[in-house]
Amino acid sequence: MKTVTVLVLLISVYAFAQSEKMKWGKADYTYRIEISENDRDYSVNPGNPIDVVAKSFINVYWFLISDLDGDNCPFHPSCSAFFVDVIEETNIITGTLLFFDRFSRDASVVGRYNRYPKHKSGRLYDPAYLYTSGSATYIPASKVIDEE
Amino acid sequence: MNFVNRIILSIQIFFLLSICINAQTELFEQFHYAQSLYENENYFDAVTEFKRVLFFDDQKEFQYSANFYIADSYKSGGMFSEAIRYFTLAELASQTIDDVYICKIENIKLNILRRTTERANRLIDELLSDERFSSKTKELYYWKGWSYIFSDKWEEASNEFSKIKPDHELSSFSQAIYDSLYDVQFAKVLSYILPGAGQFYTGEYLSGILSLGWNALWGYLTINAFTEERVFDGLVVANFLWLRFYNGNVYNAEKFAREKNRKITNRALDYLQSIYVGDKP
Amino acid sequence: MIKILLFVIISSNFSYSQNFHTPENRKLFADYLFCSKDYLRAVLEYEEYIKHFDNDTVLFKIALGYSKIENYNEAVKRFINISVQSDYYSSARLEYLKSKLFLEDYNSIIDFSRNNLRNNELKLISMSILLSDKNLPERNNFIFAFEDNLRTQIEDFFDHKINPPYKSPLLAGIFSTVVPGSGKLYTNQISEGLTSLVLNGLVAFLSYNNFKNDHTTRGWIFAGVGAFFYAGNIYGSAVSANIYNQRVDYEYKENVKVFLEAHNYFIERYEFCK
Repeated sequence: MKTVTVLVLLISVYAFAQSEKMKWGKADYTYRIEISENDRDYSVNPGNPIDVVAKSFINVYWFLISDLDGDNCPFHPSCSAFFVDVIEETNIITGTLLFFDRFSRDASVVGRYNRYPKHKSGRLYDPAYLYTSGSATYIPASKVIDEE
Repeated sequence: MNFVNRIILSIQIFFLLSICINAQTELFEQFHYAQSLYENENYFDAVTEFKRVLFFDDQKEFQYSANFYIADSYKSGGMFSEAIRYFTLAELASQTIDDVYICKIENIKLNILRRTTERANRLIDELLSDERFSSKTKELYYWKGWSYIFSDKWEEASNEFSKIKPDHELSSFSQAIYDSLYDVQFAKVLSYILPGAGQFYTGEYLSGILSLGWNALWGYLTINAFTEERVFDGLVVANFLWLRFYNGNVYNAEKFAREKNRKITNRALDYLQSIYVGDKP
Repeated sequence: MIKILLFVIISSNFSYSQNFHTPENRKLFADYLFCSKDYLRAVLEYEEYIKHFDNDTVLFKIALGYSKIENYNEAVKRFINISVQSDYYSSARLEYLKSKLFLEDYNSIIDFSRNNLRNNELKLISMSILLSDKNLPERNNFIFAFEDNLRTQIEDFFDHKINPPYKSPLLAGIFSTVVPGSGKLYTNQISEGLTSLVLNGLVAFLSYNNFKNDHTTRGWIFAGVGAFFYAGNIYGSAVSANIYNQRVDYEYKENVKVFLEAHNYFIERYEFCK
């Protein structure tokens, strides 16, 4: 009976065993659990003066308000971070428009989970480049994103 | 059979035996070659050579040791699930009860490293209730302690280690870590009662002051609105502003407590991995 | 008589070498590794064997092994060297095309199609073109390469590629200008569209209400915010049409890939491991 259990375990492990794709060596694994650092990026890009002003306002917002009213955004790049990203990639006008669009998407509570892919932090993944680049690839809702 | 025939027959038997021994010697040499690769930390090639031993091992003499080495190589390469599979194979090929025990312990250690600690605990409990291993209870308590450490249950870990001996080094260590952790529930309750208090408890003073300030402001405005009979305004301020900052304050207290705890436990785990001298998973 | 027999047996034992790294033993070991799905090790062992002996099946298995561990560049280099006399020549041609497909190297696939093609190759190449941005051949030529029972599916794939069911960003923008949120309804974002409508309506109402009650500053604030929401809704609807179209493309490619997997890329299954 015990052999049967062991064999069943073996078969299940074997069935899911990954075939090795390249030579591997000694691994330096650690005992610690890595925390994903969700630190804000307070740096200001000294390019466009409008960008500098916008980023400074947002830094103040983060420090005084956003850090204190809890994690309310269901999306991974939070709405303010999204705003920063869009401004960096395009201009402030497009940025503002897409920010308001993001805000109204934030407000729509139904059918969210089938619309956006999930991020490893548990939130929904909605980066800026999907909206600013005309040819970005669609990411299906079933995918789980591991980076960042 | 006459005398000459007997001589010839014994010579032939001698040659046959020497061929067999020669064959086994070849296999031994292959096994030693694989071992040398393993000792030089050349794990991928070591696994290949041990698999070669297994493939050519007609007499099934090397099943246990080759499987064991393969499993250990996978473990050194960080591939824990494959390692578990090969330790299980080694266990099936074991000849003695001691070998079975060693393989089971290796599997427990891998489950701990993989953080599938429920499975590790189950395996340990099976061994504890197995009469064949009744002399090994101290070692089993030791691994159960490690299993609790890896599942962040430091107080339970301390208890397990103290079952080995009351003043066990890891028992006092685990207890010290547990005592230095912040109480997450306590932080939340503090913040429910007085906004900012939970943050003060966890050492984030700036955040605590800001939280206190905002909550005081919105609270004042809400009460002001209600006392001046501006009920709608009062409700708007209360719901969209005060409630938001109040919940944020509780959320922050919990977040800071958990973050600080994670830093403390990671430091402890680093110490255990690099400085502590003793059996490790 | 018995002595001679025994002598023969003993001398044959003497010549029985147990060196495990001979090419023949390596091949035996490699066959075992290949069938236990340890393709990387099998490939390494086969490559040692190939240094001493020429063997078409082994060359093919090396290429196949690289393909299984998703090292398609190496696989392609080797598939192309399988000789015409080999039993696996036709499979090698198909595997070459399959690897090029995974590498998304459609130019090579089209170059290949200039040769004389066998039937399965034409089918695989046709499906690959569906995944690429290249021009499609004429409809009937395309469809009649496939058997009757597959025609309906192939027709759907072909027609979808020629005329994908895209939504127009311009139209979405116009809809949203007239009725806020309707552009998003057009691009199938029902809940977002409704939310947008409600939000715009609410802010407009608040603005109007405040003006009516002579709270002019508040009226202007809400009007300003409302204007931003309105403009954002128009732009966002246009962008959502683009995203909708990207989704259409993505799902189409996934469907084509599922179809290919289901038909094993039109390659016959191998019988290396029984």
